[in-house]
Amino acid sequence: MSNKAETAPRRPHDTLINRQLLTEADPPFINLTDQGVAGLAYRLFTHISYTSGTASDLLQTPPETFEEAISDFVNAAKSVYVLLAKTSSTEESRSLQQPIPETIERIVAALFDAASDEEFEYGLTSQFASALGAIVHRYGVGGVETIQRHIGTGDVRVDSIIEALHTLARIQHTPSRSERLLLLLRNLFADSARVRCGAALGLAYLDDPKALPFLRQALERESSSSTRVCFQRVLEQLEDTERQG
Amino acid sequence: MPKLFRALLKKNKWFWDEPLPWLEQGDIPADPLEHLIPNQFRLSVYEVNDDRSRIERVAAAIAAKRHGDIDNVEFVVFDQSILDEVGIQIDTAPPLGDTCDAEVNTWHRDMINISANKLVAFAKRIVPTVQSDWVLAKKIHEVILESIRMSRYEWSKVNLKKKDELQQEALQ
Repeated sequence: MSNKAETAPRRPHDTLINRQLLTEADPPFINLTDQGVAGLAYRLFTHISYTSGTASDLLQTPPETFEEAISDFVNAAKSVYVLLAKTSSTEESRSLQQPIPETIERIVAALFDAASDEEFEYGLTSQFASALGAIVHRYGVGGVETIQRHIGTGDVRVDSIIEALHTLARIQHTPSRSERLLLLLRNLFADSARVRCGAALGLAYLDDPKALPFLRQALERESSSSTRVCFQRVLEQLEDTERQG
Repeated sequence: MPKLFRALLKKNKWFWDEPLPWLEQGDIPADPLEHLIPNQFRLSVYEVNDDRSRIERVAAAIAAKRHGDIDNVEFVVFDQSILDEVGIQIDTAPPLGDTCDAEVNTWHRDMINISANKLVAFAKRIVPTVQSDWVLAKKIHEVILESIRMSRYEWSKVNLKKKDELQQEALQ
């Protein structure tokens, strides 16, 4: 059995990744203690590298696993962080703490794009979900609003929208809870029956009886028999939750 | 006739958004076939009849085997007579199921000798007529706790990330 990990030459990432990060991947927004953000940034970075054709040197020896990729990325990001800490002015340091809306938009768009070939299974946390969770923890309500806007563009794969709805429902982040609930309620009335069902399943994760009047209204209007089953199950759960107080 | 349960692993792949203009009359999209891929010409199902509590037991046992978090189980239940219609047999002495719940394992059945033609015929029969259903994560959680309290589970077969916390929660 071959062992590629032992025989593969080291990638020349120290210089190339750093240069890419400084120009493309917005290193100020990388939380070095957060694997989710590191994973997101790596995906964003590789996406940009591939689409701009600059990946040939850097990725000629791809990492064996995603965990290895994150590890490599975190190491490279630490180098960048040290570099920035040494050289940045006070003004630059302040900017590291302030998210720039266009940057979040760009990250979210790249993330959905990168997720276009990912399969989503019950019970497994997808890379896409980890990264979305990191965005909400990092950017709070602004992150949720950006995701909502992106979903609303109509140019997103339905599977990715459903995964995003499930993820937003399951995140433990109190400051954005109302926005996430609203986003799910809006999507109960989406054009796609599968998205409507995905939104209802998201409401089940949140388990908030405040959603009941909207869910009942959505059930009344629902034309897809499959989505009706989905709504009905969630309705039963939320009514049960309400009864239990 | 018995009712058979088949779990669907991928999210929301059983039904699709109408219309699909390219789809010919009488045909079905291929995506739902992902849930019906045989292994060694066999497809694993559970006999559940119309008993919701039995469905929940099967779903919880399947969820407990996953390596991640407790989550919804999406499934279809269909009448065994459909298998006669498309010429698929049921193994009369199937291997026991491989879940953590010994009783659930006795409800396991195998659809056998599945050819490509039979599989497509089966899919074309059930995909348009059998709706998927869910046991939601909250219910799965409750059933797992109850099963732990009643010592139904072989604990080494539970793979959930937070299995230790679950055990503590059940015993409180």
